Amino acid sequence: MMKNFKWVTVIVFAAVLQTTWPDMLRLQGVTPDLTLLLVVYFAITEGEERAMLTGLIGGVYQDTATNTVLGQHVFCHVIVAYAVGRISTRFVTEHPAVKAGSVLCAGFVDGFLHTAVRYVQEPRLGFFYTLLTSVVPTAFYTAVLTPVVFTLLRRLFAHDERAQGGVV
Amino acid sequence: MKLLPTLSSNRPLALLVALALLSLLSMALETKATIVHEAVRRTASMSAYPFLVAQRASAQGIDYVLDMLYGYNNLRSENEARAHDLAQMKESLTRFAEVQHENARLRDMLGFQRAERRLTLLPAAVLGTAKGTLTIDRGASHGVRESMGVVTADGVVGVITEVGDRASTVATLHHPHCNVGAMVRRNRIRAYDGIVKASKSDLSVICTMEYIDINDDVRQGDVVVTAPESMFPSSYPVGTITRVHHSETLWRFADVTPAVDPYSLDEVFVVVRAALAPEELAGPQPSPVASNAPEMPDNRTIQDRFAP
Repeated sequence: MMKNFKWVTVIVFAAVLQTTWPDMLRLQGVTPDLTLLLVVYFAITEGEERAMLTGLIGGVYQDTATNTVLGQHVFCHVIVAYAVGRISTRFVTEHPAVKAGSVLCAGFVDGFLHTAVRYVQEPRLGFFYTLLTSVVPTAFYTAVLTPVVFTLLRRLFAHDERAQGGVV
Repeated sequence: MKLLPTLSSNRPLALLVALALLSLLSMALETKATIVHEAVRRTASMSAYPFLVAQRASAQGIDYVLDMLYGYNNLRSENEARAHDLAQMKESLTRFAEVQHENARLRDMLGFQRAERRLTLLPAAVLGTAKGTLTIDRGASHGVRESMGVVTADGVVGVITEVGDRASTVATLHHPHCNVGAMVRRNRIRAYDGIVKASKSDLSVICTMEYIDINDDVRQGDVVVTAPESMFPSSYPVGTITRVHHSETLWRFADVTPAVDPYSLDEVFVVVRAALAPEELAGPQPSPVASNAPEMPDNRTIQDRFAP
């Protein structure tokens, strides 16, 4: 119960931080995708189910906060969550670089999907230009934050993971 | 029939499919995210409504209690201020009533002084009373002398017995040193000694008119006034006969209640002179007017007129 409460709180906090106070995180006009970081973290540590639910909650909040069509972020986060969750079971190392690489790849995929969806809905926005100017920097910036965010999350959920025999 | 076990064994995949399909459906229908916002807002408002009501009620209750507390303090301080004001007003009212009484007394005295043209009166304030005597604030420096009478508008008070520089002592009708020549106003009957004096007790309120002839008509209720031969002007109230005592001798005596209670006086008059001044008796002097009448003829002889 407490774990779920903390889980939802962390998701909402990350989404609020990302959508309401993006200036706190913005660097050279690029804002990291904290929700995607959470999705990847829970995909690696707890599997694709919780990761997809994380993507659902965070995506709905992002869609609502940015007032876009409902489902854009949810769709991208859910697919990434499932993919990372499936692939992470094959990891043979806990090296932070692997996790950062996973986040980088997840960022590319998530950004690609999101840009594609938006391009389908509004073609005038452009596809490749958005990929180059927004998705790639965002993915890198998000990957850079991986060690920090993952360390905080591991400390936050350490007791619960130990109790469940999960990854510490 | 085998759908549920299949879904259960492939739950992550099923969840992915479900969420992806729902997302695609939502995007296909272009469902605006505002619907979530609206739903959240309504849910939040509906969920918060009881809390808002409770918060409002509790805030009102707290305000009520605070108002009551502050109001109590305000009422208490206001009450204290009102009590202070009330005390001041009572004091002012008492002073006002006292001033009113004093004013009435002084008006009466003024009227009395104006009415009694035959008397030359000196107003004096009573400083104190003791054993049938009064101390007044007028003395020798004001022209007061021993044996002068002291009166009020109601009647005789007593006689000056001691005179100081700025104060004097008055022996009232309750004091044995005070004897006032008196008579019964109805028939001008006097006692054998002609006086009314204090009874045997100094502090008694009853004066005595002794040595009344057994054949004289003296009744209870008769008014006793000053006699012409007294130091007071004649027919001035001394008191009222309250009881006539009969004895086996040739004399009777009567209890006289003085017309004035000396112990309740604040101001009195000293009778400086009990008759009009010669100038007043003579009236206004005629103005010297030159007469046009012819001079009377001088009938004296020439020798008487011119002889040395």
